[in-house]
Amino acid sequence: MTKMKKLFVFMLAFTMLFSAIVFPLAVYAEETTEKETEETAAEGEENGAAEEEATETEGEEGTEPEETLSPEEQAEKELAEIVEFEEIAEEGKYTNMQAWSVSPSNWNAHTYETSDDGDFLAYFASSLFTFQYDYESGEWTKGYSIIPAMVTELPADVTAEYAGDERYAVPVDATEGYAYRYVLRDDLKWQDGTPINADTFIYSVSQLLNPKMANHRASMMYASGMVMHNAEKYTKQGTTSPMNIRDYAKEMGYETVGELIAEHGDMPALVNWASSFGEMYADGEWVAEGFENDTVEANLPISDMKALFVEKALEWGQSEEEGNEYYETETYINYDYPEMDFSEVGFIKTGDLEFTLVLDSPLIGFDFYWYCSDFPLVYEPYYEAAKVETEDSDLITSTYNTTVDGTMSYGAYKLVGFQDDKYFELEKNENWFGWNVPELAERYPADTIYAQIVKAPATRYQMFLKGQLNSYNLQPDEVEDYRGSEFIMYTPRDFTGSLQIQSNKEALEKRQSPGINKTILTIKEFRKALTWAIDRADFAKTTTAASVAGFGLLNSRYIADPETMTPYRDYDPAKETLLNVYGVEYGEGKEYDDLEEAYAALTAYDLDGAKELFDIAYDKAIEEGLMKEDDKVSLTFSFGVDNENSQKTFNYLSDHWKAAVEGTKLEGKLEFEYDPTAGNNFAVNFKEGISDLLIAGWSGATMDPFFLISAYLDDNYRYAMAFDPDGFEIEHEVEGKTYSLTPMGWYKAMMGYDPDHPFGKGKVDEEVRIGILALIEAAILEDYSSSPLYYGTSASLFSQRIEYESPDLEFHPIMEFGNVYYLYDDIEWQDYISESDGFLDYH
Amino acid sequence: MYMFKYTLKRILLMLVTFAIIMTICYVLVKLLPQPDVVGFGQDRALIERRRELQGYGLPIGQQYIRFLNRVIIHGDWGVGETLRRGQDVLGIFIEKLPATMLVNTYSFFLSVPLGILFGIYAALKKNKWQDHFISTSVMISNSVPSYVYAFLVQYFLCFKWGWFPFHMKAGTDYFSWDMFVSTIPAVLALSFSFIAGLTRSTRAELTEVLTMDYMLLARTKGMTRRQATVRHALRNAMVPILPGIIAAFLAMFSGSIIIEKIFGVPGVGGLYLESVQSLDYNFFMLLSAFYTFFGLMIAIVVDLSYGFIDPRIRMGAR
Repeated sequence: MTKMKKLFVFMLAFTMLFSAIVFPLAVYAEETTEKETEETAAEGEENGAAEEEATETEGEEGTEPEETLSPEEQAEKELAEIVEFEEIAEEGKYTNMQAWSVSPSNWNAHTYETSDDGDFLAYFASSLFTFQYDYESGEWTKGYSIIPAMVTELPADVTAEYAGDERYAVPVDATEGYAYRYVLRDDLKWQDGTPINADTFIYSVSQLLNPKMANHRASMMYASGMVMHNAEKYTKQGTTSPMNIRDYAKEMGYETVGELIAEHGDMPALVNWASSFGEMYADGEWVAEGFENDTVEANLPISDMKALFVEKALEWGQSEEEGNEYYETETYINYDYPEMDFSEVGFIKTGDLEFTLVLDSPLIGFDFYWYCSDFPLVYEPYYEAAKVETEDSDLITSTYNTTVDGTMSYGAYKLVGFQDDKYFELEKNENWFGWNVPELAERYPADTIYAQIVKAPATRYQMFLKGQLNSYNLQPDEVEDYRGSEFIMYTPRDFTGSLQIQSNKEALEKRQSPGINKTILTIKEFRKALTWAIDRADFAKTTTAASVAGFGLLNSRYIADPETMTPYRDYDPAKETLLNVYGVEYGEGKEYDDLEEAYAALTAYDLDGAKELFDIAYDKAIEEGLMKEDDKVSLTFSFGVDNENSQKTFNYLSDHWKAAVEGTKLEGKLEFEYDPTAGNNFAVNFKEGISDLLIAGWSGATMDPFFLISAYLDDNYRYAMAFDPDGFEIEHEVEGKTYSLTPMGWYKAMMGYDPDHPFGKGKVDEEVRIGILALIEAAILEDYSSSPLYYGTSASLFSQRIEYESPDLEFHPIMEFGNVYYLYDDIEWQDYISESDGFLDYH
Repeated sequence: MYMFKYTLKRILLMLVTFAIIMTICYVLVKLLPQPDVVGFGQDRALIERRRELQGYGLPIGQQYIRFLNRVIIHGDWGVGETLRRGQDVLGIFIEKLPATMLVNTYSFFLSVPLGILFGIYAALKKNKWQDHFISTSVMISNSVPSYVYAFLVQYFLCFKWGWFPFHMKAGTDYFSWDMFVSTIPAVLALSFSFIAGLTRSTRAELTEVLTMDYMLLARTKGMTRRQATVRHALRNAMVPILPGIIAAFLAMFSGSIIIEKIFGVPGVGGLYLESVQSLDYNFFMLLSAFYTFFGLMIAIVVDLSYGFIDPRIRMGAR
């Protein structure tokens, strides 16, 4: 064989090898699709049978069974996917064309994690009752109204029926807020026509709380605003977890902790040495270093722990009672959660179409409607089939709601097409009860929702300009071009981007080296100077699309009074707090006449003041021996992702800080390192002292700012671990009497967790609670470990094809911009685009 | 026989290397701290319970044995936990791989002939305007990042002139005409730098070979320029180029993160990175196993290919 022939043979073999890998894979993918569709068809038949049975039993008008395609037709349908809008456009049809930057990956209501998955899931689910979209005389209603959805009427408070019932621990004297009865509509169905009744709810909640599955969304039944009776115990049955000693005593039937100690004083105690003492007691001595910030075995009986807490309280100049209070709130005991039947959980079937919810903490009015409107349903046949047990795990995981075939809707739309990282397609679910309720039906005007996964913003932008999308989220450098456009709308977000500054001395010391200093961050003046040196309005404008300068931890999305929809930020104490923190004065002889004027002028930007503070901090650092004169300060700025925005943020802040130290003793000594490698560990890295600077914050719980503030206090969530919410006290007057409590103490009082200071909801006037909240916020801000930089706001363009219900695009905290109305059907819209030569102008 | 023994030895060594790499991967990824994924209002104890049930608290060695038992004995690569939770990791990978391979295959078959042809032409026209033009184009193509081509291709071909859709077609009909058309922008964007690289190396090798004494001898023997170039020059020039082309084969299985992102190719580009960032053990181990195994295989194939291309090279011969 000649060389050329050998070469030819080699190339041929190479091509064959390649083909042998490529083609089978492609064919496998196709065959998999066909196989899945075959399975779908088979399941469709079963479901059809179920539907017939249900129709006969109820003797009501049945629904038309879904059109069952042959496997070949199904496969053909699957393969004939859509690329362009033109291919699915029809006269009289309204298609909602969307582009998502991230593909939904798990829309199982029990386990979903991302907000994208949550948004996707919402298309297939319904709530029991819902907030109504309506407005009066051209303005959004300031309050709210609620209409029944899956229920026939709003749930009745049946607390009286359960008062004194030991099974559900409802207090004897309880009159309202503990138990609610839900009566379901009789036309609730899954997308295949299978009826939904009380059993469906019971099964779904029992699976959500299934102890073998440890679904993390189970906590919504006991760790959010709603505390369903025994939900936590049922979920954690068979496990051992630390429980606060006071709760433990109550759980074991003792009136006081003292009674527990008297009988079981030798029980081993658990404690978090770092957060309770800042030191560890071991072998009869206090140890200053080398212990972790975690709840661990104290190696002491609970009786001895009390003495330690009292000893330390006295050492800190506090009373014995305060030491005892620390003891009872910060000492833990391992609690063995007993085996339990679901019938002991406060979620009871009381009729075929009726169930009752029993709560451990009463909820009344808005709070009940806000927290208790949703018990996510799962379709039993699919859910059971989706359970997965693997060899190397004792956990039952679930693949439920991760594919088209495994998804069963009880919402307005049903899933008809999905390809990971590519697209999804939804069609109206004909079996949704809401089509019979005009107020609900009008919220879903689109016949089809077709969403492509488009990760590049530039592509989304071009698609939008060609009329292929209903809306487009503007990028920071695009907002200015469209600022005056009639198609731009601004959506305030509940996220406040705060600069987290490391001040954990021990962690900083570990990461500094000769000539390189980090511990200057422990000096408050230095942290304060860093924040004062930044013009937050300019920062927000430069680095974000439409966000605005942020000064408080809670922005205007946080509603303190739902009855009037008044944001916390609009209350005088909330404004006063920020003026005090940032040193702005008003009144006679001051720069500003009144509170409103001063608040409106707030910038929190003082470059000269920052320079002075840098000098003070430097002198202090030298004086305290934290750094030497020739040392450089090198700070690591951590980001979760490496993208243009992270780089822009880093460059903006580092440049401005370097410029701010010019002319100070730190000139030429301040350096910053860009570290975008943290990924999902950005929070844990910062908490453990691995990074020095971070922009992060908390969102969620928009209707409960009182609850959200705990994210800045609680060890589980707080970024600034060196800030001790129990380490100092603040005096504050409540109803004519002055109290002195720690920030955490005020939080507990405000939430009603402290029986000695009953300032919880309903116990005191809401203005009092708002005052306490402002007090806590000030305490956190004044530490300068978490300094807000911007209030998140997004800007987007909406298509010329649609308009919103909201007058003048005014944003409502619950209703947002209201319903969408289509001005053109698909064909009319195509004509409209053609008339514009294929390009739409939104300026 | 030498080759057979050599190949067998390499395969055995490959399997040992594979096992070592996989063990290291498993141990290292397990040593990394788990991301703090507790959202506000979520129960940390419940999340820790979930991890405990998954055996995360066991010694790494024990976890590894359980993992091997699951994968080797039961052929189960598991489901996603932190990345695409609840989805079968092998299913996702197999579902996404064809899209990546399809785009890369088209790019490969477009780039290799063009790259070699341009390289030959430039070498034959050395120092003439054609050579300068090609060399300059190559230089530009190599210097400009691929996402710039991608955006230019998309802007002109898809947005301005509307010849192609913005994104690769959805669905699994990989061999349909619509699918082919929809992949063209991505293929073009992918091919620029590949063509440029191949052109440059072909030109460089061929230019050197064309000046060899044996080329002069071939011409004096009476061969035409074409005969001498094809039979002698090109064949010798291909010795260092062809293994490079074969190595490019590996790249077909690892998608370009940027190109896939811009042209909506639902492929595996970025999946590996995502699995590391989100510390999803099942995805990470599957992808590590696949790419490690494939990389080692390619190394053997490339080494063996030298013997086919140039008979003077004998693997394993004493």
